[in-house]
Amino acid sequence: MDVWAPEAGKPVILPLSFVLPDTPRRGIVVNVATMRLFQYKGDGTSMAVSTYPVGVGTKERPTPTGPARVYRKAARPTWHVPASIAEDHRKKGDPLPPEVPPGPENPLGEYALYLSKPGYLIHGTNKPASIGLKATNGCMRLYPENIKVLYNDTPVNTPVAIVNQPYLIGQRDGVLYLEAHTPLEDAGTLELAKIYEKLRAIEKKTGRTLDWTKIKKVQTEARGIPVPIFELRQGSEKGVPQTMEVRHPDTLHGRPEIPDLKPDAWYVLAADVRNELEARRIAAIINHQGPPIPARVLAKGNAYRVIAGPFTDGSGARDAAKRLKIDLEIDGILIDPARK
Amino acid sequence: MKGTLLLFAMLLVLPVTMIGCATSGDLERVQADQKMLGAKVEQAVQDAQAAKASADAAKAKADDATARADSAIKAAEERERIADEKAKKADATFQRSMRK
Repeated sequence: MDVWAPEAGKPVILPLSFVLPDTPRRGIVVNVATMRLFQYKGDGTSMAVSTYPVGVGTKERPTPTGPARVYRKAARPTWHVPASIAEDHRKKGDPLPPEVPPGPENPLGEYALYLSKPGYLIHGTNKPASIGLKATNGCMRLYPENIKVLYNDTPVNTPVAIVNQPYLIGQRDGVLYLEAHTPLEDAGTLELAKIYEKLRAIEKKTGRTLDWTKIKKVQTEARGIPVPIFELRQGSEKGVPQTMEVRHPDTLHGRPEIPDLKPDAWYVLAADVRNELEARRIAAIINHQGPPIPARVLAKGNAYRVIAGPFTDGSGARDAAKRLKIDLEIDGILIDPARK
Repeated sequence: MKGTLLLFAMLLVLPVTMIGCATSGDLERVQADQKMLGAKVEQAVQDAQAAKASADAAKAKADDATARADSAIKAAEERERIADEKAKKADATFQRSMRK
């Protein structure tokens, strides 16, 4: 599916359950392979688990695995720009100041948990569309609404475990589930061997054979949702929850808002293409920048124009054009309100 | 004697003339037959040539249609390839834009 211009009527599967990582269940656990954070509160029968999607490090600057703890935390944090990032920005003609104060330009968002691994944080973001991507410099990003809850609920010294587990097995109500994700570059073979070893141990313990063809299929499809693979208690698979169909909501939380067109405002012509799908994709990518840049497609004959704006003045339009150039390699054309 | 010779000559002449008459009639018939056959052969050759020309024209038309269809398929595949490349490039650009 084209994530920027999905076909109308195409069904989308959203997972509602997740297999917990194979770690001690305390504090915060981040599984970089599944891009998901788990927060454990309480213990024993009163344990509660919350889970949030995260954005993680790039291939060049990955999120490091291992144990850590929350060293300190800050609301409305100032971003002290690391030298490597400052250099990257300088090279692309977008020099950064040594510090970025709180606000819409601050990539840390409104809250940050600083870890005992120096330089690594769990923080919010001014680019919500980056959640679920490998786009950070090693930190873990959460949606603004999620980091707010996590921040308020996480004391300093909370243990944090960062793991890389693309294959997970768990059981609920007598049914064994396998959840498979596409592994990050270096962990697949070893992690698969570990899981297969666990599954063989289950076979031995129960004295029954697993369906290895099904297991292989789940592993290679890597759909990221728990799939029942074995009845630990015979007859229990009848109780497996079925996929429920939900109606498309009327409003989507976090959807970029596009203001109405204004005849006396400034705009930036971002693209002029012959293909409507291409135009919709460009407009969607611009809309999801952080901070967002409103953009829409205007059709004229068989031409589709992507227009960013409205901007109240030329300065706003020029800033947007600069961002389009630096971040998206788009050469925009300014459209001032006086133009006929 | 003379009479006998005359009779013998008459006897000889008669069969000879009879042989000569049968051959010319047949010859004419043969010539007529040959002429008719020749005309038929000629017609058959012409018919065969016309059929071949028609078959060649049909084949050329079919080949042309096939070539145009192949060309259209290639053009569609090329458009799809370009569209895929643009989509991948857009995704890669977006990923980079999501960095700090």
